[in-house]
Amino acid sequence: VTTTDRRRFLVESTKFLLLTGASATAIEHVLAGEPEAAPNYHTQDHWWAMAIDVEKCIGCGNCVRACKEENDVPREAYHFRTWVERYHVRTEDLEHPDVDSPNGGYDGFPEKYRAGDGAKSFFVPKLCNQCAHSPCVQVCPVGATFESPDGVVLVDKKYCMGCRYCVQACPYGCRYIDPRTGTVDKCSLCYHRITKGLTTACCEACPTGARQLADLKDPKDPIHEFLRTHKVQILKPQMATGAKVYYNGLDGSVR
Amino acid sequence: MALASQPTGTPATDRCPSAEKGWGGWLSSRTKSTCCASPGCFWPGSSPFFSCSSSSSPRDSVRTGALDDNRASTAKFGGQATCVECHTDEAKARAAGKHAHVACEACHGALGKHAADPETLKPVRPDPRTLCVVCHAANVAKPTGFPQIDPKDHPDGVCTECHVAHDPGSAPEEKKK
Repeated sequence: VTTTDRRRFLVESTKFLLLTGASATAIEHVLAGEPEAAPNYHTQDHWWAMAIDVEKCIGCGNCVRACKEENDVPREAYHFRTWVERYHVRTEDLEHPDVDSPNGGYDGFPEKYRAGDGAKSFFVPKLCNQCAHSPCVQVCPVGATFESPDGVVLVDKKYCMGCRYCVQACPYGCRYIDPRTGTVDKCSLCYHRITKGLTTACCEACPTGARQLADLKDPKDPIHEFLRTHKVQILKPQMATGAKVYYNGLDGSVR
Repeated sequence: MALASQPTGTPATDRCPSAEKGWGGWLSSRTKSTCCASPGCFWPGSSPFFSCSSSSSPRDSVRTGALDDNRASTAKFGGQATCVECHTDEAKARAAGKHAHVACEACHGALGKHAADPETLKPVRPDPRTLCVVCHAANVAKPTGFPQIDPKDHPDGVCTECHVAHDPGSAPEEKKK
C-alpha cells in the first residue's frame, strides 16, 4: 500500500538522519501510534475470525456474562456485545421460528418448551461478525468505525459522535449506544486481549468450546482444519458483508 | 458461496485495486471520486452510486492512536495458561476428567486481579447448587448427549457430595472408601 510505503520511508529516513538506538524505536511508536509498531504484535501477521459450533452451545450464558464483565458493558437488557438466541422451529413452518433471548441469555434460559412437541430447539450465539466489507464502516460519516489491518471492526470513541447511522446499518444488530458516553459500542473481539496473546473473554468462559477465536493468517491455527472438515455458513451471506464468524451446524431458519 | 474474507497478503488487497496501486491510486483515494465510480470497474462491491472511500482506503480517515486506544484496557479474565502456572494439582485433576476443556474461569469467574495479586485477592469458592445447574440443568434446546439433570430430582443433594467438580467422572475420596 502506497501510503504505508511513504510512512515507512519517512520513519526510516528520520531515524537515519536524527536518531540512534532506543530513540529510533521510540519514534516509531510516537509516529505510528498503533500496535503494528509495538513489540511482539504485528497487525499484518493476523486476520482474526471466529468459529462457532452451534451443536455444542448449551445456552448457559457464560459468554454473555463474561463479555459484560470483561468489557464493562451496561447490564441493562438492551446492551450486548454478544448474546445467545434460542430458536424453536416447528417442522410445519421452518421459515418462521420462534426466537427468544431473555436478557440476551445473561441469566441462562429457563425451560420454555417440552420435549416431543414436534419442533426442534437450539441455541445460537451471536456477536459482531467482524465483516471484511462492513456496512457499518461504510456509513460512518466521521471515520470513527474502521476495519483494523488485522481484520477487526473497531470503534474510535474519540471520533464517534453518536449519530447511530452504524447501528442501523449493521444487518446483524450488533451495535448499541452506550448510555454513559453517548458513543457507539460493539464487540471488539476483545482486541485488548487478542493482541496480547489471550483469547476472547467469551471463548475463555465457554465451557463446551462452542466458540473458538481464530487467526486465519496463522497456518497452525485449528480453524483451517475446522473449515476443511465442517460445512460452515456465515450469517446473511446475501448481504456480501464478508462476515468472518463461521457457524457450523447452522439451521436455515436462523437470521 | 465463497469465503469472502480469506486472508491475503494484506487485508487491503481484496479491495478495489485502482485505489491501492501507484500514485494514481493514491490520488484517487485522496480525491475520493474515481475509485469505484470509474466506468469499467467491476471489482466486487463496487458501486457507481456510493463513494467507497471508507472501504477503499480506510486508513486515511482513521485517527492515529485509535488502535492503541482499543488495546489499552486491562484484561479481567487472566486466562487458562495463567491459572495453571500456580494451580498445578487442580489442573492435573481437571485435565484427566470430563471438564478437561472447561477453562478455570468458566466456573470460578474472572480472576485476572487474583492472578496479578494472589495473596490479597482471594477468590470465593462457587456454590455447587447454583453453579453446576448453570450448565447441567435440563433444557430441550441443549444438544442431545450433553449431560443434564432436572434439579427437582435432586432436591437436597449437593452436587459435589457425589461428583468431584474438577473431575466429575470420579467420586470424592470419602465415597470411595
